Amino acid sequence: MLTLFLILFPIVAATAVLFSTDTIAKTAALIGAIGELVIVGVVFFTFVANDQYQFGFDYAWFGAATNGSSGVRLSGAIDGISLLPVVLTGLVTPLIILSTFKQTYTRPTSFYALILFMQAALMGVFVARDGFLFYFFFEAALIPIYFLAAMWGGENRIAVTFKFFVYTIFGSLLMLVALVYLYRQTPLVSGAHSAAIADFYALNLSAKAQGWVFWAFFIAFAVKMPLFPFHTWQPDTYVESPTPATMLLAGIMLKMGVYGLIRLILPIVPEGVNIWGSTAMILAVIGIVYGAIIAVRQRDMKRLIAYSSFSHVGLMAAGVFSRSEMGLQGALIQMLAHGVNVVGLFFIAELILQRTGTRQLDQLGGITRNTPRLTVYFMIILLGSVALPLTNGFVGEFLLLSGVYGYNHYIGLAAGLTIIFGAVYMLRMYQKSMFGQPAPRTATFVDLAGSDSYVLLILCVFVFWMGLYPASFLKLTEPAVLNLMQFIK
Amino acid sequence: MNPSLSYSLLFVAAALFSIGLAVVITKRHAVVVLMGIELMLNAVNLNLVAFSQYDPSRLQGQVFSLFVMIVAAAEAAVALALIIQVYRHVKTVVLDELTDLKQ
Amino acid sequence: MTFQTYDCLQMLPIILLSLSGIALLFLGFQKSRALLLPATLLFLVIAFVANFLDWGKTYMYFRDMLLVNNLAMIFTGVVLLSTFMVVSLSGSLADDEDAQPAEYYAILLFSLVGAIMMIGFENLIMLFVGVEILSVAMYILTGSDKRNLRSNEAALKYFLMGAFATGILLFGIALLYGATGSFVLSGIGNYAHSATNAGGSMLLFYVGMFMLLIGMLFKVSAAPFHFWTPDVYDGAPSLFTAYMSTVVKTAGFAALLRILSVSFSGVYDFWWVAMAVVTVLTLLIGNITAVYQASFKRMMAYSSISHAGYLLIGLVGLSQASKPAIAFYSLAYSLSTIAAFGVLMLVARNRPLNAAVFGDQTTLARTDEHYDAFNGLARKNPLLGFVMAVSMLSLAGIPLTAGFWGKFMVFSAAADRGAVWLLVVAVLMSAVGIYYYFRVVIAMYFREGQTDTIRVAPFYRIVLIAATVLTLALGLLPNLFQGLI
Repeated sequence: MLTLFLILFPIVAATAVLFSTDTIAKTAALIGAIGELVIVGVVFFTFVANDQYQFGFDYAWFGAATNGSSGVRLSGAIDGISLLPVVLTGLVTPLIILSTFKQTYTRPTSFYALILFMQAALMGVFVARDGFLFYFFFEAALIPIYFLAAMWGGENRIAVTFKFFVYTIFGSLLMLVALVYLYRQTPLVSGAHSAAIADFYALNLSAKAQGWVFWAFFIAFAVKMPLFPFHTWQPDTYVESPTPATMLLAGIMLKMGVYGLIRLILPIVPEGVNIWGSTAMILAVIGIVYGAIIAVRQRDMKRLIAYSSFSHVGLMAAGVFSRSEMGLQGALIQMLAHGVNVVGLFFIAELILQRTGTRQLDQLGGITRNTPRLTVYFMIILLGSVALPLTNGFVGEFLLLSGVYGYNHYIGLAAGLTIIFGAVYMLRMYQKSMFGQPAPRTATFVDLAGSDSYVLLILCVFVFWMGLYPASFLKLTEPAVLNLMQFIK
Repeated sequence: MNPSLSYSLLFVAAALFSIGLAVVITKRHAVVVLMGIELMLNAVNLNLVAFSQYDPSRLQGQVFSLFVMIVAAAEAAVALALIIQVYRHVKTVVLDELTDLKQ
Repeated sequence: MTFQTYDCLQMLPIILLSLSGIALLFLGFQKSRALLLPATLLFLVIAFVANFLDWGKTYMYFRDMLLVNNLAMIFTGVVLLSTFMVVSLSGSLADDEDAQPAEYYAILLFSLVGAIMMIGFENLIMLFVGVEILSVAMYILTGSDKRNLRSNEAALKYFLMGAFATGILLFGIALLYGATGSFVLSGIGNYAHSATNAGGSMLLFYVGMFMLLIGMLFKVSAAPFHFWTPDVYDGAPSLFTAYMSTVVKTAGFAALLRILSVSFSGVYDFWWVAMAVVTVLTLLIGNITAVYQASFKRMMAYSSISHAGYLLIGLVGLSQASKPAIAFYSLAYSLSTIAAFGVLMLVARNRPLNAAVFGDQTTLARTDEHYDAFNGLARKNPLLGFVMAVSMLSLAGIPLTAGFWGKFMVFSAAADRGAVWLLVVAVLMSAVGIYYYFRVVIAMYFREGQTDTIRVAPFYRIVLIAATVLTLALGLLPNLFQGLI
């Protein structure tokens, strides 16, 4: 039942915010998101580390059999694989809301309500146990983020976000075909097919069918993450969106794609992955290298972070397609770690923009002088994303790279470039913005205070918690991953 | 009845229908097109009556043809009203000259 | 299945609608027009209730001419509901000096009789009479804006095309009669089953079947028989365009579904390829041409062609699942289309086009129906913006709305037949569809415009809200509807 609350609570909160007044919208949204975080906390600390689905709910929805079973169902639950994305969504949303406390957005009630609606949809994606419920939330998540980006975004927002919208819908429509096909392939039980994801696992599809189902799913998720060559919507959308929307996109939404790879592609079409997995892997590695090289050349901070995110997510996909326990574990923990880091980085870029009016690296510099807090927080989060040992990024990337390396040495080596490039572009960004002579715009830079600094502090705590004691997360996911491995082999 | 006679009736009907079809497609004057449509409907009537020879109850096809005639009359009434209405506006009923909708 | 035969007085909706249509004509003699709209709505509600009196039973009426079962009742319910909504959006007719609302309402009710015949026909005579009652009524309503040349021109074109299609349809019926000796659907179906098993030439039958199908495809505006649609939908008054694109389409597909499933299911292998080709063409032409329209109303015309394509998918995958699928899709499509036209009429009424731009008297009555008319609408009129946005989402088939489940159901029907390639075409075209449906959403929410607050009559507002709520409710709980079938 707790899972159902996870989805419904943000919807209730969002509706309340929508009908509140402009002055209290912000606070109301924060209270709602913290309430959700409390539920997530209960889930996290009472989760039993086994391969069972927990806190579940299950109701007939559509096309059920006469006795009320099977059909398309409203059913969701949390297992080890959903747990970390759920934690990520619960954790990051209040931070995103808190990060806007010193900002004013026009029509705040709609703005914050959309963020909370987004959170509900994301939760739904991560807990759905029914193929169509998954699809339902997968698309539903797109609508609030589209409105957030297109209503409060930058100059080119209309064209850019529209491209994003059409692109992602196109991908998910292909997934819909695959889901309808799988649904009608399931055996009839008392007159009804079943859309449960677990029943899709048990299907015995021909290699040909698995091949096209693989691509239908893969394109849907590859657009969402995004993977090379489906990434062209991403940098512009990230740059044009208002920063809270960018954080939602990069911090949580791209994890929907990685999660989909793990939850749907690997176990449903193992034969398809056998045939096409290496192609997907190569695309992912091309994305890693390509994203990193472009990131090195960027001058706009937000754009740089966007490309770095593109590069990192490629590594997660490669880890998933290595089909090893390490790769999967690495992808799961890296989802959480990357979410934490990228939200922090985008927030810092936004802070710098607010204070200096620019994100161009060559107009910045010398910020460290009178900003001890920002300097430290920025450094910690930065080190997390360049995967320095003892930080969260290290755990994930290490596991991912060992998984990929075990799959193929050369691909592993190519993927390993991500660490080197990552260090190059991240440190370059830090050096250009924080060190050096103060530019005219940065001379009067004021250090963080209040809500801004709490957001970064909390993120830094997670950087170290996950880096120093990853077992507290990995041991929760391990049974479910091992269970999943049975379907892959 | 003589089967060869009803075959010839079928050919006549088919020819009538084709003529009607050709008129509808090639002629641009609204009234002429209407006449083509009437030809097509009459071909149908001929067919229905011819086929009712083989119908054990004999009546169905003939009754149907009565329906067709009545409906055709109703249609013609509406059509002429529409044609007059258009003519009042633009003083022509040649279809190619009616281009206001293409904008 | 055993049919109980009753005599004529039981077929209540048809009789009630005919009588109330006549009653409306008499009401039209009164000076005050205030009574017409409520009276029409009342008649429709009565017919709606009467329609469902036979729920759960299967009857043959008028000596095996019309069949009434649950499916037919649902289709009838959908057309009655659509008509109810369209009529309730027609409040402004009473203020229009040149309009004759009594006649319009009477014609609408008469045309519904035709629609009901098309839904339940068991004999091809009923199909023909139903199609003609509906079509002739539509010719008149299309041309009802007499001052407007576009309206008249549209009516004339509609008539010529429609009558032409009727001719083809009739010739097909005549040939089928020649081949099978029967006008009764089950009789034709029996012939198709036995003749395919017996072998021998079925040329007459096949030619007849295809001509009949072509005639019907004309009526539901499937490509390549769609070319009349954009002009007619564009030229007709928006109110009747809404009616045409919902009621006529629903009735047409109900008729196609009936004849294909009862008479031609035995020769499925013979027609499905042709129908699949028509489906693909319809989807391609409808969606791709819609992208290039500058006028919202014209876009809606192409959108109705593309939705004919999705409905055809349900027919190509003909099975038991097709029946609820097409019924649900029709309902979802009708709700959104009428709501969208409802908003369009309000927006357009506030923006009469400057006659000087066109320079001639005939365009005086034209209003701005372009996308630009919607710029900034949602700022000042959040309700209208929301209603329109939900309609567009539903037409585009996005989850949370009824349109999604409609697509899901027709796709499921086709997936059973293994026509996955057809689904791939369909979803590619859905992605194209998003492009043009979202142009309106973008205009309303993200662009700046000088729209004022638009005054909406209370009843009008209620109908728009009801359509939106129903669309969302069916999107969240599709089993509400499924329980009925």
